[in-house]
Amino acid sequence: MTSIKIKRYIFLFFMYLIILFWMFVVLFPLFWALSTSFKANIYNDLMSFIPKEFTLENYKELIIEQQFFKHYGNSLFVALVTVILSVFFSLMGSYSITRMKFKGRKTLGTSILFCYLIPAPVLAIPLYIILSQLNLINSYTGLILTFLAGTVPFCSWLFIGYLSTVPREIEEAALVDGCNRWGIIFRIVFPLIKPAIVTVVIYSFVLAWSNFLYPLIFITDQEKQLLPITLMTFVLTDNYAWGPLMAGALLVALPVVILFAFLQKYVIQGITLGGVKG
Amino acid sequence: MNIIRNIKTFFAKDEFLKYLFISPLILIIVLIILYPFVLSFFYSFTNKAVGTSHINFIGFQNYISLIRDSIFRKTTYNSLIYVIGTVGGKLIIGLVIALILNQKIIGKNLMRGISFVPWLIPTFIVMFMFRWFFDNTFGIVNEVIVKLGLNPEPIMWLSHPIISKFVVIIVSIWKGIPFFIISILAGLQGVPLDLYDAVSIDGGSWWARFRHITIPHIKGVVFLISVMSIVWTLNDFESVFLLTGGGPNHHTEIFSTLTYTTAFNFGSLGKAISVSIFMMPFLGFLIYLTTRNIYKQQEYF
Repeated sequence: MTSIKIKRYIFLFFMYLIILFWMFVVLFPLFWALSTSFKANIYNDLMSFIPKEFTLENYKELIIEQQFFKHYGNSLFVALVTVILSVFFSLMGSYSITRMKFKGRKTLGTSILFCYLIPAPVLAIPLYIILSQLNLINSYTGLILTFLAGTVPFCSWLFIGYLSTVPREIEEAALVDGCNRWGIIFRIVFPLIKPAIVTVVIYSFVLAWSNFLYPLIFITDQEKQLLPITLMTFVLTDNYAWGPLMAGALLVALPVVILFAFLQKYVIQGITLGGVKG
Repeated sequence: MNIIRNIKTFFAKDEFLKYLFISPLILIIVLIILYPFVLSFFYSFTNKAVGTSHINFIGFQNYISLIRDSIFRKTTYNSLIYVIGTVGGKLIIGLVIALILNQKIIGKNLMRGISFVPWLIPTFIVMFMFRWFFDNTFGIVNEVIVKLGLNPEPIMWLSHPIISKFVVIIVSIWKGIPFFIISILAGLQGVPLDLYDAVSIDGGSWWARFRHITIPHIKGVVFLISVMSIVWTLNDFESVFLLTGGGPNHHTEIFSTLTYTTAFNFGSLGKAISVSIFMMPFLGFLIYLTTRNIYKQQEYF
């Protein structure tokens, strides 16, 4: 009996050891970035976890000298337009697929899944060629279109999955009562599938907000550039402005973490619905 | 009057609306995904370059010159190591963490929340953070190592031919584990608890429970996320590009970074496309596997 108990305690001990070590591995790099962003003199203050001299200088330099908020605005604009269009197009498409009689919708479903799985870097160069032919390099129209190629297949797939679990009786009753299709989509279906919409909003926002390759290739004008590339120029300059870079990194991660904190439940549901269903 | 009403009713009719609703989706799929996808095969047989509209057909020359290129062979080897190391690491660590987080432990919800954090932070931000973390001269890792006397001098984490490979893999694992944890946790919710009790009564050990109950229940999920993760890892551009830029001397170069440098540092778009087409058969097979598995689990159509 006691040997079983001892075994159990050893087991528990290792379990807590592993999980606490993992918590440390996850949190420490973040904490280190936070600490660096408040340090007055990084190179004299390398080892201290709490800055010896606490300063907001790094944030100030980032915001005033680097016009950080201008690029923040660019990224925000592109992300918001991407979100709105993704929700709109995917919702219409998946409504049509699940609710209206359609020839070849199985083929369409398969191609949606296939398109979701094609990785962005594979499309980057042919898209670059197409966009240059259309004179859409350096334009947000071109950039947003390429983002839609990343968001719409996944979002439609999620909506299709979700819509097929929602009962149709209310919609059919509304149809009989003379409500038209637009009314049904926006007044009845939209509120019914709110969790899926939240997931889609977050997914498209994060994709547009943090995509690195597409703005790197498709936007060459520094004024129009989005955040990821603007921040990269810090690393590539000779003097390695680590303080402002870490400050910028935290300010970029912030909206995503806040979005997630409020909508955690929906996101987890979405991931498990979208790719995998246990 | 009649004609106008006819037109009006036509636009409100399902026959019209169903095509209107579906058309943006179809246009995006066909014009922004499938068309460029097919176009890439065409351009791989040309000498298309940045800034010129004149192209020549050069047959298989792009492919032949790649096979003869020692950098390309190095890249293939690196990509393989990168995918095996990253996906393997994510799978093993993710499984262990998910199993622990599924136990009755103190502070479970907080720990679950924390373990999702790397997934929330945009990849490029993660790479900036770790570049600072592993910086050769001022990084905290080297500071600690030198101060504690573990190594007399700083380790060249990001510019050593072999160590840099490990660092890139470790950072990618850090970033990608939450997806595995979330998915495996979701899979574990489907395991009926009374099954565990049954095995416990029969005197089954922890290992027996794991092998005969847990594994069969999460096998499907684990297989699916592993395959998807291989697809994503194989095409992970930012991690390598921002950590090492493919260096030193191409020791961390993978397909996606080689594609980028061939296209935009050397301007040969045709050749760059050929690089990504080399992995197409493998990629196609993985996508087929994923699609088939998702269809098995979800009956939407």
